[in-house]
Amino acid sequence: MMQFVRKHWRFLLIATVVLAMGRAMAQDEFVFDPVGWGENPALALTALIGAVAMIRQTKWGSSIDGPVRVAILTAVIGMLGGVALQMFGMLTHPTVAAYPSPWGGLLYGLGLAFTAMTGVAVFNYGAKKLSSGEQTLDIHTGQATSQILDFILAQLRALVGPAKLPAAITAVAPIIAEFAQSKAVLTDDLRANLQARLLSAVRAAGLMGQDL
Amino acid sequence: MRVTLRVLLLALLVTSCAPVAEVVTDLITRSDGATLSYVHQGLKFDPGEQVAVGVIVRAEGENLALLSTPDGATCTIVGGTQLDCRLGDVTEPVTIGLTGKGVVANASWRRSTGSSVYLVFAVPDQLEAEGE
Repeated sequence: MMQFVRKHWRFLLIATVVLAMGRAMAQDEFVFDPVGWGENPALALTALIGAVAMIRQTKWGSSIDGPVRVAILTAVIGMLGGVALQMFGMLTHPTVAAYPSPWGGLLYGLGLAFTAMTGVAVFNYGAKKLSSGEQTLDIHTGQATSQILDFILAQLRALVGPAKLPAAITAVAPIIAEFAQSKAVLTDDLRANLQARLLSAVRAAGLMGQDL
Repeated sequence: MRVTLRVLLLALLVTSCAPVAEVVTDLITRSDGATLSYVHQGLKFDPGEQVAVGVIVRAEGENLALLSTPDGATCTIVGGTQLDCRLGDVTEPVTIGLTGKGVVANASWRRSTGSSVYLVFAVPDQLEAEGE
């Protein structure tokens, strides 16, 4: 349970916020209300963020990561949703309903996507500020991959210090490249394996150990 | 492929600019108080003030021999050259009894308050070094 929470804390946090917002806005029971989406941008925004979060949790959406891909996904879903609302006559928001189909829907969807991405970016910024200074280097790869890269870079940093880090990174670039492409989660076994591989690498590079 | 290129570009950026390297490396690691040190015939892991979760100690050297294992830990030596020690959750300093030549070692762990992985390489024990 704790492992699940640790792994998906961001999703859970967003889901909680989205649910709370939805609950507050609905002021009643949760309902599937596309008419409401076409009428009230706040409801549509909640639905859009929820849809993107859900898609990213599926096996097809798990590779969608980083600010550009997520923004594109959000825009596509927003536009499709907006066009669908207008096609089925449910887009009644006065600002966009006057435009001919499908332009009103596209505009509505794009506007929602822009608002959603801005909101999520602000939210992420705030979340980072609240995470007690444990944020590490973010290369915008998958979360697991980024964690492994962080780990390798942390090993180098601890071993050689800032002055020699550039050379050390060059030396282990093949290992970084290998793990950058993997979808592996940093399990205990993988962590132990990485520790051992880097110890071997630094001994081979001439680092003298200590006699015990 | 694109990810690899990003990583290699990052490596290129870091290797080409020392000030950038310093800024980046400051972001990567922060000491959180735990240490791994060489002591007489052993390696001592001190978790600091908080519990260290899932501690793994790895060592490499010549003619490694395990003398003692902390309670609850699982330590194995492979081929006389590699030590893999899973200490589990550590609340107070523990020592792995070990002999060998040219030993290099590191330890990694998490904290119960976050998912970050921390890492230190072994250094000579400060108290023992001062005593010599």
